[in-house]
Amino acid sequence: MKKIWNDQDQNAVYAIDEQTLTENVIKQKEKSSFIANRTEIYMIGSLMIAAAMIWGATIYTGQIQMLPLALSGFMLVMAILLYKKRTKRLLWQNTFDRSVLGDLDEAIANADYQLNFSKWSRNLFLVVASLTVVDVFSLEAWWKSLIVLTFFIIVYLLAKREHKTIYLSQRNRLKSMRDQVMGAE
Amino acid sequence: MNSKKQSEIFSRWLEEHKGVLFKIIRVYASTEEDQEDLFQEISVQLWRSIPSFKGESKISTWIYRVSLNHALKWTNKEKRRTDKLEAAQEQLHVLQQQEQADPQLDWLYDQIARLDKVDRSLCLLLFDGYQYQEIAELIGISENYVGVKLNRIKKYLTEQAKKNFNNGL
Repeated sequence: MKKIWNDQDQNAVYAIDEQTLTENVIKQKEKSSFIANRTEIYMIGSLMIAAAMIWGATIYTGQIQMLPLALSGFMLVMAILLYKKRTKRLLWQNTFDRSVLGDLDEAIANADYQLNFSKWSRNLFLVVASLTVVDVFSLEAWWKSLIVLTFFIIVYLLAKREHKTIYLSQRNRLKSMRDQVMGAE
Repeated sequence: MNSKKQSEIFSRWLEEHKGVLFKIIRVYASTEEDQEDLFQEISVQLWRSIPSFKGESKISTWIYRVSLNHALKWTNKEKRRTDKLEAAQEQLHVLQQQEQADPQLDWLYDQIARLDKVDRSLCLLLFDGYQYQEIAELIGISENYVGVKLNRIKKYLTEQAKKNFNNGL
């Protein structure tokens, strides 16, 4: 068997179109790094911009309203917390054992992080949405409040579905793979 | 590390170690589309892994680790692959299968592909001349466990060879 196996090294099974491969690799690499890193950066940026806009509007109109200011303060605190979470994540990356199992452990840790991040984002969204609904609520234009509330509920449910179908199933797949590698050991 | 240097290293690795990648995709993916998909995904992982390679292990061992790890994860993404089929068909193909007429080798690949995902990795490494200790380090499991698994695999392959070829292989 070993001889049959070794003989294949004399003949290449495939020919590679290297230029196309390099182009595809760069394209895919940029796509995956975009998804992994930019989500946090965009989230931090969005929170800070939204908070700054509330402060800008308050200064511009000269009308101090407690609810929007509380919301902007909350968003700023969340942006700082998120930045800290990101820094912590970048520190523990690449600290895993250099083996297939170590890589899987790192992938599981990343999946756990994504899972927590998704849960955390939904909770943040819930607070921001609640405060916004309270802020825009008026008995005269109740239908406007209803539209805003419906929009938030739909977004929240979609986020929950994403959490379950993408992040949770990904983490579970990785864990089952780890169990398989460990076998009956 | 700049992109140009990374690209040069990637080309060199590909040229010198493409055999490893071919073996892995053949063992983990059955259809041409899947082999193409897995090959491209492993290539992306290899490209990304270049800055982390500090020369503490052989390049071939590093390539095996990164590729096997990705192949194992890839096999768990059956559903996603089906969804991606349309997109993959639109993508330009980078692999072209060459004429291959070695029924014994085909049989051997077929037998390896019948093993469970982790055993396939162990089998590939064994056939490529890795020692038990090296396999244990590369996978991250104990040497004893590697020994137990490989003994079972050898026994299985020998039995299958006897069944299919009168005098074995």
